[in-house]
Amino acid sequence: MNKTADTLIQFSDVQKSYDGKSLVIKNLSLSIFKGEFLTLLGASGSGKTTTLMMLAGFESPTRGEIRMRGKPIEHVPAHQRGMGMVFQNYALFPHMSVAENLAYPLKMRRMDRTERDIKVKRAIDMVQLHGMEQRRPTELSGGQQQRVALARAMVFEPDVILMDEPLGALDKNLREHMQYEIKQLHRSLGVTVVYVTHDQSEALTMSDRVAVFHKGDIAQIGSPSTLYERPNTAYVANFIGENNTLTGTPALVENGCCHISLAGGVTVKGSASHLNGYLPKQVELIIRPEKIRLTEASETSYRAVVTDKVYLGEHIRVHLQLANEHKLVVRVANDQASRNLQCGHITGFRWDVADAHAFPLN
Amino acid sequence: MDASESLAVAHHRSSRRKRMVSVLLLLPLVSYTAVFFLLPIGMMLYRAVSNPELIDAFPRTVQALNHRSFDRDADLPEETVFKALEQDFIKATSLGVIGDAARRLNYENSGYRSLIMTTARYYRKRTQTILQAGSARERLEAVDNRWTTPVLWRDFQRASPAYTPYYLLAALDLKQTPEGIERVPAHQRVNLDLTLRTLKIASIVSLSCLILGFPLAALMVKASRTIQIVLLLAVMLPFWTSLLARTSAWIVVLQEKGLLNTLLMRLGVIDQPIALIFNSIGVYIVMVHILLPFTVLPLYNVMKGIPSHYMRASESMGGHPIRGFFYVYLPLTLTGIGSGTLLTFIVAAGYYVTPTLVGSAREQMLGYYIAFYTNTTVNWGMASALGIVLIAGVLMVYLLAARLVGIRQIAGLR
Repeated sequence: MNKTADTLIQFSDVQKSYDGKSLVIKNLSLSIFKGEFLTLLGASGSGKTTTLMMLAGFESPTRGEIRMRGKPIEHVPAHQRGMGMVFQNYALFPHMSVAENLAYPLKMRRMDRTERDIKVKRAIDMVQLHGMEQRRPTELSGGQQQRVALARAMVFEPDVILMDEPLGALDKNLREHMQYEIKQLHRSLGVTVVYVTHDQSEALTMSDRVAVFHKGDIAQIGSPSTLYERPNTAYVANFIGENNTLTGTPALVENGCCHISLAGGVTVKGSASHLNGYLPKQVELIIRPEKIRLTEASETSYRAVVTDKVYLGEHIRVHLQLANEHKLVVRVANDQASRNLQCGHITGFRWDVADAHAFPLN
Repeated sequence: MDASESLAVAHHRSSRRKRMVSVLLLLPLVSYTAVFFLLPIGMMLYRAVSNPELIDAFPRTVQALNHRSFDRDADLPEETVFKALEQDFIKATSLGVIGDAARRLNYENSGYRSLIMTTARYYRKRTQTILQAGSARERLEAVDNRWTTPVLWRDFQRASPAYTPYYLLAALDLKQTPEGIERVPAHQRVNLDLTLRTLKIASIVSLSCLILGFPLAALMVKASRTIQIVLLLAVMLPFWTSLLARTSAWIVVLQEKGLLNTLLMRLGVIDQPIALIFNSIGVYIVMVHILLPFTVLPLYNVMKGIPSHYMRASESMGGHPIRGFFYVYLPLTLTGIGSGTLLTFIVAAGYYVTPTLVGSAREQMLGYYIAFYTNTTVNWGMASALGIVLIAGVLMVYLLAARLVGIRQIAGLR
């Protein structure tokens, strides 16, 4: 993907306030590239949905500018923006059949009936809902409603499709299946998708890029692997995936490696790349459960007591207690060694310095 | 016994207690409805066709006539009938019964009242003994010679059965003649106009309520909580003031030297006061005000249940908000439009006090005449027949609405 050349939508210094007092969006600059699958990820109230609504035309920015293909669109009403949208509760019209729902955007475009019928049929094929054409939305299962909503947003072949937590109402298995289907459709149609979710695993699975929203700002934007492997703030590190956090005092930094002394006299090491060359009073060391490896207890390794073991099938979660209340969760493969671990025993553990990120704590 | 049957039996047995409880819970309402709603309506239906006056007053005569016909001019009843008539007059327990019969016979042809009452007074002074001698027919002819005209006996015969279509036909400006059912003479045709006027006033009022109420309900749904409460209170206000107080207040505002006319004349908008009350304008203004809540509340209720993202969805698919309104919003409010308008229509069609107070004679509705026949002329048959016309009219509109909107929708179910 040629990112610089194919910017489709550009947010420049966008601010949004609903009450004239506080900002919901503080200062948003964001480029959306043609054909990408961009996820806006964040907790509720982080500004992700507001951003989507501004893009759709249902809210207007208080300050700043949104451009599409270089042209400002703040004053283009929603119905002229030509973006497909999938709503949280699908918003299928209950008084229309599936076919009528699918024909609606075409009817609004004053397309003639024969062409309309062809496109509706194609959309039905695309989401595999044969035989459901004459049903009312209420007669469909959640997954089928979801498919109709998807088809309806795509049937008029928009360049951009906006999705506002579209899978929130589905159960886990169906959600995973639909994630896959949406991803397939995105690949086959080459359409640009802007997807809002609060579910970080959904964001990682589906997206080309993820923008993590935090309190009205983008905390970090990048590919799923970048966010997961190289989070640039403690918030992102904690929000994406599971993490262990150890709080301590940085003793020294050498060769990009920060030595941190924890309460209780243990010293651990982590990457200093996020400290930007200066030494704060306190740091958080963040490390993922699967990056910690259990070893024999020896002089060179860290040591801890096994307090609990949770069997999860393909892997095992081991709870460790370090000196002085510091706790860690470790995720290990389900093999002979880990099965032999006993609660109350002392084990050694280690991690690669590059996998443990030290962030200044304020 | 196969397995499914035994299951059904077992289910029936195990849910008996539940059914008993349901029946017990319903019992008070069912008995209340039966006694105070179904029974009176049944009685009203009965009153519209029941025709007891002549049988009560002249049981022997009616018996003696016994389906004789008086088609030809020469036809007159035999002496036995006249004798029976004399007996009935003499043995009449009270003048009241005779009076009812006189009034009833008078519906057939005005003038019969005096005939009956004169004859009754004549026989009140006589005793049984006079029946022994002479011809009853001649005695009656001497009292009033109309007793020996076939047309009287034909009318008497028609008025005498225990049940009559007379009132129901009269409510539709029809009457029974020897030639069959005919329209009454043009100058007597008032009831059909009355019914049509009632339906017209109710329709105009419910349509006006819809035109005023729809935007109001839509605003109430969209407005902030505070404005929503203020508007709701304003709409509900007519419910909390006495009907008479409200109507009188409107008279104060709308009369010739009332607030509105004074204000308009001060402002120089008009030179002469405009007639706003004691005519149809007044009736419409006041009735719309009073009945607005009946339209607004069901509408508001339905609109509140329409998620705002439907309209957004329509816009996202390229629908201009106005087209979205007609294709999405309006169809979804049909339930509320149907039930609100129907409710308003039904209540308006039965209105009585307001048109009486703020309308002229030309705005009086069925309700007024039902009260008139009940209280003033004590013509229960006519009052009941008009009541049936009212119920039938409302029922027709109801069926029409059920046909158009669906019965579940009107009941507020989706």
